[in-house]
This record gives sequence, structure tokens and C-alpha cells, in this order.
Amino acid sequence: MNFTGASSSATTEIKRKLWNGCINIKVVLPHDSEDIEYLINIPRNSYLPIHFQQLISYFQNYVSYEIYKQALWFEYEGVPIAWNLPVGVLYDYLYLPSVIQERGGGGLDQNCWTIQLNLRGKYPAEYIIPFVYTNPDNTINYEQSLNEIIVNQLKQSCFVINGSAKPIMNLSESNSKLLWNSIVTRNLGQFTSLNKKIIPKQFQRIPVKIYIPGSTTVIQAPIHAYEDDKPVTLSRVLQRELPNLFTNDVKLARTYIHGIDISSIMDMPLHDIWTIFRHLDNFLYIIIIAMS
Amino acid sequence: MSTTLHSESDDSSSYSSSEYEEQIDDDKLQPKIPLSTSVFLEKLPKEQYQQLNKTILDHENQELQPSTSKQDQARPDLVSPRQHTQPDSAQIQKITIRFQSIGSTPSINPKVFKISSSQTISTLSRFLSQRLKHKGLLYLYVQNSFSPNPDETIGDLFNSFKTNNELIISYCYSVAFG
Repeated sequence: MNFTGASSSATTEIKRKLWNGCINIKVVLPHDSEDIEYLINIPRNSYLPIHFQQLISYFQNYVSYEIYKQALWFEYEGVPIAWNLPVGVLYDYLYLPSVIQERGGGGLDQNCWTIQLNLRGKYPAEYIIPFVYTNPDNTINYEQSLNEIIVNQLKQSCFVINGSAKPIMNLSESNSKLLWNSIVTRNLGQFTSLNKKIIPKQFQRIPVKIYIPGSTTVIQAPIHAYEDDKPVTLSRVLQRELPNLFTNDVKLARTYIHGIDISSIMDMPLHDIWTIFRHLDNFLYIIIIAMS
Repeated sequence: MSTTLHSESDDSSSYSSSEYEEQIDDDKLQPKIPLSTSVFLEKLPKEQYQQLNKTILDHENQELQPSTSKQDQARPDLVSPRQHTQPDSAQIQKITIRFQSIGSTPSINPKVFKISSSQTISTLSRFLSQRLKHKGLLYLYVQNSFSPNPDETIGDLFNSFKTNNELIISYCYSVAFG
């Protein structure tokens, strides 16, 4: 199977579907004797802080203190959730193993991920990135921290691709604002046209991050797009980076991108997979789940 | 795993024989894993479970790539019972970090340190803040281009962004590259 033969309209359709892919999340705030719940539908390639405002407005109705003054954070089974990762990556990394295990079992609600909201107490700064900016009225400026993270990830991926972050550093201020705006307002057309300006034309390496649920290991190897003038395939990359789990004959793990088991396209060039499946920060996030 | 930053005098090219060596203790942060994921992994067949653990250990003690491109290296391409022992200090890969101050931000002396490859940017950032006796914001940059995420490991950054076998970290008290 290969996308190079696929029509560009098919590719556009896949990209649109990935852009619109969403996750149902139940946010639970333990409060006095009963939990307060809020159901929210968040796009896979969005980020939690983009939705903080909405959550704060709701939960403020139930608590007497001002939520804006202290940084909030989420936990799943006691694990602080890294807000700097795309929501879909968080789901696949923290929750997908349980979903797979329960498939057919029916004990778990596969359609909703329940996470806990924390409004007070000690922010787990040793595990997740603290929010360091405040607005003039002393409320937490979540957007500035998120913007900083995403822009720097974009610069990093740009640098991986062609050894320089110039294309994004040279982006005009108005275009930088438009790019950020397209991410927050989820404007695919605007995002695509601006993102084209910052992706280098010459491709040396492919920005990839490989996550392994059950460990805090993230593999970020310099992966070349071509070897001996031949495009590098995803299976080649996995065999080299994870030789214990992937060989020519044996696969002890499955590979997920955007929550999709992509075993059937492992022999596609990694560059093609990146083109379709990369996230907003132009990194391709791959989740490896060991399986029988 | 204990982690130390060894400093060395700037003009010394021989790290091990450096007379001037300091260490700072690691925070030894326990990784947090969802219980349901741990349960899922424990139920895996033995082979999957073992190979997964090997994979994770391998990455923590990864071999640093020499300056030549990675594809030239021969690596075992079969699942083989490789030797895995608890890493002792001799086995932990050390990476050379060179700090460069930007603008009016004070420089430090020495500028060159060694750090375990499995350590993260946040360790580096904490160490540098202590060195500078600085309590405010500190921005770190790789390749004078981007700020790495605090949770990125030094080994990964080194493999992708090294210069002459050093990872050069520029730092500033304010945003230097917007």
C-alpha cells in the first residue's frame, strides 16, 4: 500500500479526518463529598491548555476560591499529565493500553477517558512543565507558555529536517500570529498554508518521537529520509531503533499513530507517513505497545 | 541511577585526569506510570515483557553515536540475548556540555561539564540556575535556535544537535530567540 499513488484528494481527505479526530474526556474534580464532572470533546491534535478557559468557567461555579490564580493540572491514575503534548498522544500513551486490554471485555468505557482535575495543592513541577507567566491581574497566562512550547517544537522539527530553524525564525510577526491563531481556532486551511512556509524544501532528516507506554522513554533519533538513495521505511526505522521488539520476522509490539494501528503501512516510506500523520508541531508521534 | 555533573577546567582536554571536578546529586525522580498500563504490561507474555524491558534499558544506556552517520554502524538486527547489567558509573555514557551565555547574562567558569546521557534538560537547567545563583526565569537554547522541552534527554539532544562532539547550550535570562 502506498500513498504516492493515491490521489491528492484522497490524501487531503485523510488529513482532514486526522485534523478533526477527537477524544471524549471526562474531567473530574473531587469536591467535598461528591465529584464534579465535565464532559469535553477535544481534538487529538489540540492541547489541553487551549481548553482551560472553558473548564475554569464551568468549575468556578462550584468552588469558592478563584481558579485563575493558581496553575491547574490533570492527573490520570495519579500520573501528572504533560500538557505540552498533543491530546491524542497523551491518550495513546497513557490510556490506549487499557483500552486494548479491555477490548471485548466491556469493563471499561472505551469512548471516554476520565482524568482528574487538580486546582489546589502543590503543582508537580518536577514531572510536568510549570506555567511561569502571569497576566497583569495576576491570573495565570496559560496561552503564553503553550505558545512558547509549540513555537520551540516547530523550530526544533524544522532544525531536524534541514539543520536550520531559519524558515520559522524568519517568519514575519503577522504570519507568526496567524500561525498561532490557526492552531488555537483550528483553521486547517490557514494552518496548512502557513506551515508550508516553515517546512524546508530540502529534506535530510525526519522529526520523529517514539513513545513507549509503561516507560518514560522517548526515542528521538536522527532519522534520515534516505539511505543509499532509497527512501527509509517505517519498519526499517523500528527495526533499527527498537531491535528487541521489531525484526524482519518477529513483531512483539504494535505501532500506533493517532490511535490507529498502522501495521499495514509499515513498509511505506517514513517521509510519506510523516507527510500525512505529523502533528501540528511537525513531529511524527509514534506509540509502541508491546503485545502478544 | 545516580547522576552527576562533572565540571572540568576549560582548557583541559583530558576529562578524567582533570583535577578540578565537582559533582551534584541527581534528584532521582521516580518515573510515574499509570497503574492500568503496568497491569497491562505485566500480563504480557514473558518474551514481550522481557524484550520491552530490554528496549527501555537499552535506550537509557544508549550508545552515543559517533560523528559519522548512524546508518554506517552495524547493529545487531536480530532479537538476541544481549547482556544487560545494572549500569554502574563506568558504563553510564557521559556527554560534554558547553554553556554559552547570551547578551548580558553572566557567563560561568568553567563552561564545560559532563553529564549522563539519560539526564534531562530540567536537570541541566536546575544546575545552571544554582551555579548562577539565579532565581528567575532561565531560557536554554540548542543550536542558538530553539528551547528544548524540559523533559528531553541530553542523549537524544546530543545525537541530533551536537557540534564537534559537544552539546552547546546557550542561556539567557530573557527570551533570546523568539
